[in-house]
Amino acid sequence: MAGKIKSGKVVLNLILVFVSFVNIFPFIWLVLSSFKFNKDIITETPTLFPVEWTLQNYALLTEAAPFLRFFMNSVIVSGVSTIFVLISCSAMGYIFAKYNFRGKNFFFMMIIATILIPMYTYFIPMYLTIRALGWVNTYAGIIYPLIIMSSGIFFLKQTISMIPDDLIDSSRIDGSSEFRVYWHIIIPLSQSALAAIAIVNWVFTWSRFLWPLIVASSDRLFTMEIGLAYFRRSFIVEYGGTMAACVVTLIPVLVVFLVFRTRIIEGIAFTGMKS
Amino acid sequence: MLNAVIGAPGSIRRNKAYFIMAVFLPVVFLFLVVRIIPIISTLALSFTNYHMQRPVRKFVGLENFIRLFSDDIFHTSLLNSLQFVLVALPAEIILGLAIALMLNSKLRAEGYFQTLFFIPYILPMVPAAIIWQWIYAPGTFGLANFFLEKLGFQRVGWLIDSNIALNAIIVMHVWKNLGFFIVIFLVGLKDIPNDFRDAALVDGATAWQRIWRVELPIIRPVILFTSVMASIWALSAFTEVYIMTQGTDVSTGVEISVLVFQIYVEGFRYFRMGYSSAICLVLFVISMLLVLIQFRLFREK
Amino acid sequence: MKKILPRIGMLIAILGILAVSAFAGGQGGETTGPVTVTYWTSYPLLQATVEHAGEKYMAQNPDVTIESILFPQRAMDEKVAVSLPAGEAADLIDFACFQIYPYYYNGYISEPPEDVVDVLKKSFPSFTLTSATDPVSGKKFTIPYYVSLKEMFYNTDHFAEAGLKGTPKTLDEQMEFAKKLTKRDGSGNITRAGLDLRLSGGGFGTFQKFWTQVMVAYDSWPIVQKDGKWTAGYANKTGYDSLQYYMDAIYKHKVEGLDTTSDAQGFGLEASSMFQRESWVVGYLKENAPDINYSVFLMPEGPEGHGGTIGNTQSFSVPNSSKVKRAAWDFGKFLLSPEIQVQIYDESGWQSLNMDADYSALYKESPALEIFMDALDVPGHPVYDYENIPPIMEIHARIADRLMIAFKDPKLATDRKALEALVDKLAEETNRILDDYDLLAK
Repeated sequence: MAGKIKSGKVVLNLILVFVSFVNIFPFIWLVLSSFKFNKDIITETPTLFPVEWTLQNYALLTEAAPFLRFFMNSVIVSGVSTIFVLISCSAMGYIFAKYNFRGKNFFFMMIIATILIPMYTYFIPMYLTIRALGWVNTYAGIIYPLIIMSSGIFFLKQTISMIPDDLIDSSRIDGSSEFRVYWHIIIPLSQSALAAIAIVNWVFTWSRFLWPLIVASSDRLFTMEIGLAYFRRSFIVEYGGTMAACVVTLIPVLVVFLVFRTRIIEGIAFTGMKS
Repeated sequence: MLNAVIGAPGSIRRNKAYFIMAVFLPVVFLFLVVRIIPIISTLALSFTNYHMQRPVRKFVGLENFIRLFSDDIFHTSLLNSLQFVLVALPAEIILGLAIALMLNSKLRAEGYFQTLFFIPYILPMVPAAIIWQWIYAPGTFGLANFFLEKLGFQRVGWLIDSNIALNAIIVMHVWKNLGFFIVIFLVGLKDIPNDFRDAALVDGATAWQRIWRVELPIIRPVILFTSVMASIWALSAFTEVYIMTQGTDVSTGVEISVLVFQIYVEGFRYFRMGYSSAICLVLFVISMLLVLIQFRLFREK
Repeated sequence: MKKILPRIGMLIAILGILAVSAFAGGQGGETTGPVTVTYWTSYPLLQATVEHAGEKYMAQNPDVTIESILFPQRAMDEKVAVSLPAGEAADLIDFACFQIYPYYYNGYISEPPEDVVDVLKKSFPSFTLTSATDPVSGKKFTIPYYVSLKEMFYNTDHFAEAGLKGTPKTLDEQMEFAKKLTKRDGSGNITRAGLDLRLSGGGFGTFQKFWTQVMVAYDSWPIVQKDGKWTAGYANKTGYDSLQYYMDAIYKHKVEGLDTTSDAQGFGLEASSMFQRESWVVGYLKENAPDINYSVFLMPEGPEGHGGTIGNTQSFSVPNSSKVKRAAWDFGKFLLSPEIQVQIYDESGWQSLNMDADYSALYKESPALEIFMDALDVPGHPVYDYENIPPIMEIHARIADRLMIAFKDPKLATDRKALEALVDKLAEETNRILDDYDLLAK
């Protein structure tokens, strides 16, 4: 029995290695290309490894645009947004999963419905609101539509609904307020889901392009994504610079992911239920 | 509404009410302000002839929709969007589940694999699309053709051939999003209390039976979530299509247009916001239908 | 009660963060004292040039600050579309004349003062004055300051190798030259296109090149005036012949392929021998393909002797909502000066328009630049620009979308009836758009 499991695992590992390699190949190409000269990227005979290694593309980044500033801006926008999103999604997820009241499904459907419409279709009304609030060319203006995440609420609802009711009820009977239940039971038990939502929201807000561009009147507020677009020049794509900028953009996202990844793997141990 | 918090005795009910006031009401208010009201304004615009460069607009009833009816580019984009969903949705769910189940087998390298699969998802869409545009580039300049020719095959006009182009983009879309689904499924699988898995082992079930009979049914809420998200994302695919039409050496255009791309083109390229909002309304109705169907399907099972 | 307090505290903290971040970020136009003029463009090299020009200007005018901001290309259209009607745009907007026209038409742009227009009248080619004129009122609405003039680049080595003397003067000659220049590999794939045509790519560019390449020579026009209004001008033999030329190039004479590397990139890689582009290619080749020996010839004439090219002018405009109009126009006037015009041609590669400036230093380095400049004023070779009507861009973009698909259909090359039907269908759409804007002649 043990031998069978072992060889099964070896096969599994091999499959996964192959599939993941194919999956990641474009990314490897991206990273390696960022160290190539432009002429070696756009050539009839591409090679995997750089013919000549160069850091020129990275140097270009600091010249081409104030990327450090863009980076900080992206961090601010994504960071503030994610904080708001984590709180609102978990609390709303709890309410939708474990509460019952008239009209609950209506509200839930209304929230789901908002996922269906791409944001830039309602950019104009939002922009006019921002303008009325005096938030044009401010961080608040950019973050404005990003403080809630409908799909996050949906996902948290689904995962929290898997938490056994007994756990919650027993805590309530013990006299805990809802805030206590939320803080001490719901949040810890939905760690993995929250971590996933944090990453997803981070990525989503990080890649916003058109909205921050519309809100910002000067490049002081531009985000990394807008910075990336600079390299797609009028008629020619500067691949080298683009690749380098992409790699740099990836690093914080990767870091956030690695930090949260362990949370995702941890999962939930329902030991509480046994005792 | 607060009085209808049913099934709970006195102080618990009061606690719940506090929680709702502190959380639910403000968030719903935010939704109204940041989503609902702007969306309603936009949808209302679909009954006007609003043009971004013109300050005046007037009500034109169903004129925009009648026009959509005979707009062949709109038809193409509608069909393309549906094709997108029909291909991407099953691909993402099946592949995502399969890989997540594989990863859930207490492998030592699990963390590494998880990261590797997730990277395409966190890669910003713009560079991802640029890389794929380059992979699909014509001649031997493009990676895909380069390998094809090395292996002795004929080169393919990935983005030039109208039949292939859309599927090529769908492949890119699936590649990009797969990591998300894998992680979500993993979250769901991990959240299954160990007791259930242990019980199955004790009962002598094979891995396959355990998966099919125990794990999948438990994570059904998660599967519903991924299914809905996958279909929404397939319907709202935009950047991947948009990037593929940029640059001077790409041969794609109208034939790979999808609904959201049309919304963008009509609204932000031709500035016909009224018409664009009409397409938006159509998209909304289709998406809503798809979502409701899925909710219904998953409930009945 | 004890639980509520920390919750309220959290709420206040969050609101506090929101409030603080509302005031962080860029400062709006609340400068007291010295004046700031903001300038928006989407061309990187131009932004750099204007920034340098700004520094020079600021040295001479200490109480003015020039802020030159670069937007990613496609995004600039959207940015302006959203912010200009809301009164939040820059003081100087760098756009093509026809691009800014709809905003002028709807009352968002202010008229240039006489002294700036006078510079145009004195030193700039006459067609720029036409580009800057509102056909409805006859007034000037913007100030052109550089141009996107198109002529043909050709590889002199390839020509010599093929034994070709001189350069093509007519479209037919151009096709003959192309046939001799094209190279293919064993499987028949084109390795070097004799004549590189723009067959794809986003936006209205594809049609712009088509218009320049063939339509002008065949005396075919996207829209023509009729009874004080407009109508599609190409649903006739001139339009059919124009499309036929392209289809023949791809499918009959096979001097161009759908999957060849094209544009400046292709030319630099020697994947083509001739192609149509603007002066900025000179700078591109100098940097990326310095070993290519090339020169420029003027767009060939058609069978009836019609010639000419398209030169769409780029201009700067000042919105009505600007609080520093006079300062903005003054800086604009500075951009028209000979010194800065030479700088524009030199640093950004875009072709300037001031005929009184001295470009000889640039010509020494790159003789091709002189050919472009001379082309502004050659008899029998008029320079045309887009018509100033609000829907012109939409008309061109929609034609471009459909043409791109047509180019991929080999049947159209041999089936003349189908080709004519297609062109007629395009014209129907053009007329429908004109009708939407109440500009269609009935």
